[in-house]
Amino acid sequence: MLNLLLLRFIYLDYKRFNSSWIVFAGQILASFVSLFVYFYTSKAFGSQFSNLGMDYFTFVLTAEVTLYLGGMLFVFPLDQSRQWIQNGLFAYMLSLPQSIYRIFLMRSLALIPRCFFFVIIQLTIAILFFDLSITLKTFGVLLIYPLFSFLLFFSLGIFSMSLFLLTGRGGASVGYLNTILAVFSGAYFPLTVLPDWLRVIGSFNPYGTLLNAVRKFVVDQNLIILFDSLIPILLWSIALSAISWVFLRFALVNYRKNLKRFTYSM
Amino acid sequence: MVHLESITKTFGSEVVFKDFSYTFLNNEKFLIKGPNGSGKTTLLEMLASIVIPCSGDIIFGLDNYKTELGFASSNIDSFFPELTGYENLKIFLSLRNKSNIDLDTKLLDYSDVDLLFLQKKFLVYSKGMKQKLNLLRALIHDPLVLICDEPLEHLDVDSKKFFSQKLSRYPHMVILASHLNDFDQSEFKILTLKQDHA
Repeated sequence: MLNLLLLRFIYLDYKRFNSSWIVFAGQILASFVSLFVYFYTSKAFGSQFSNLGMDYFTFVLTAEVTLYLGGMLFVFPLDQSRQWIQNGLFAYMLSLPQSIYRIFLMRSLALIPRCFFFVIIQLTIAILFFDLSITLKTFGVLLIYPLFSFLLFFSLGIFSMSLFLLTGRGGASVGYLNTILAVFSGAYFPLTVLPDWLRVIGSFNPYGTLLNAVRKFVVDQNLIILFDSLIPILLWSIALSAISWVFLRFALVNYRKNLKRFTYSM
Repeated sequence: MVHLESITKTFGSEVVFKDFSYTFLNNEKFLIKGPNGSGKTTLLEMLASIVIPCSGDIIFGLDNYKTELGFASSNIDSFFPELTGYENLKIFLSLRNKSNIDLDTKLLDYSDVDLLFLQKKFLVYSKGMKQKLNLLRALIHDPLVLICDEPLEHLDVDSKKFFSQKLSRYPHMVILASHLNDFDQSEFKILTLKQDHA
């Protein structure tokens, strides 16, 4: 029964993001433009990054595809809940036998095919137009490995949605937080260039844990590195999922008590 | 059976219900009446398990109450706008744990109503179409408890007649809120809420 719901949500996601070919073409063009910028930045400053084990283009592209799913999962529950609160669907869902947590879990799982698609598109553009040279094994790891962080980033997303339900505010700040986490994971520059105290903050970043493992793998092609990094990801996942689940319950009680009174800032 | 025991519900300083008790019995029909702001929608949302009271208890006499509930919300926009009406009904059957129901067969019971709109995207629906879909969503799985908030609003004459009869003859518990006199009131127990929240 849950599998059927997941299939229906995958279809919903397909309808939502492929409503017209213009939207679709726009997303492909955006991928192309960002890769174009990274590629020529890499060419211009290539020698500066020679100690990374890879060129700057591969360095940033690895971050883009590895963090794509995580970034989406982090922002999605809040974005979706805002839309559903606005049209009354969120309140209606409280009358359903499926819990809000489970509905958002299924809806977030339904993002995976779209994520796969865009990672494949991004890597294909990079291979065809920007001379990216990666093994089939690396291609597979870049596609599959981020899935292991699903629970971690989904929990972060549920946590920010719960904050929004509690306070009626916070929509924009989650976007900023997502960007800050991505930047301080070393997505766009190595963290070694940062002052020590900022590097310490950066090391407590789940985005960084995921990204470091994938980059090490891209250089060494050693799968053991990925298995080793699964332990901190698993620990992050367990801790954050427990916290976000409790926090969501608390937020929902508050929401159900104040349904009429709350003006949610959209 | 759904029993409300000493319910108090306030929104800020506004008291909507104070020490309110009532029992809705199985297979009976209830029509909740009252002026605007008397708490009809709040009462229905408490019965639909959406809103929780500030104090008091709501006892739902069914283990799988939410599965056996049909709820037509006062908010007729509460659908997935990207999908057609038909696709919306399918997804809500799954969300209600009723995906084993054959939707096409069920829709035959509603052949007296124009259902062509179900093939269009919800995004382009008129208010009447949204209300019809809202009622279909509540009724399609033959719930044991049916709760409808202003169910005949926005409907055309024929649809109003059809759904009014459908709700009046529904074989299980029905709880409606309406300020219209479109129902045969002899079929219903009338519960009148007063503005002073007595």
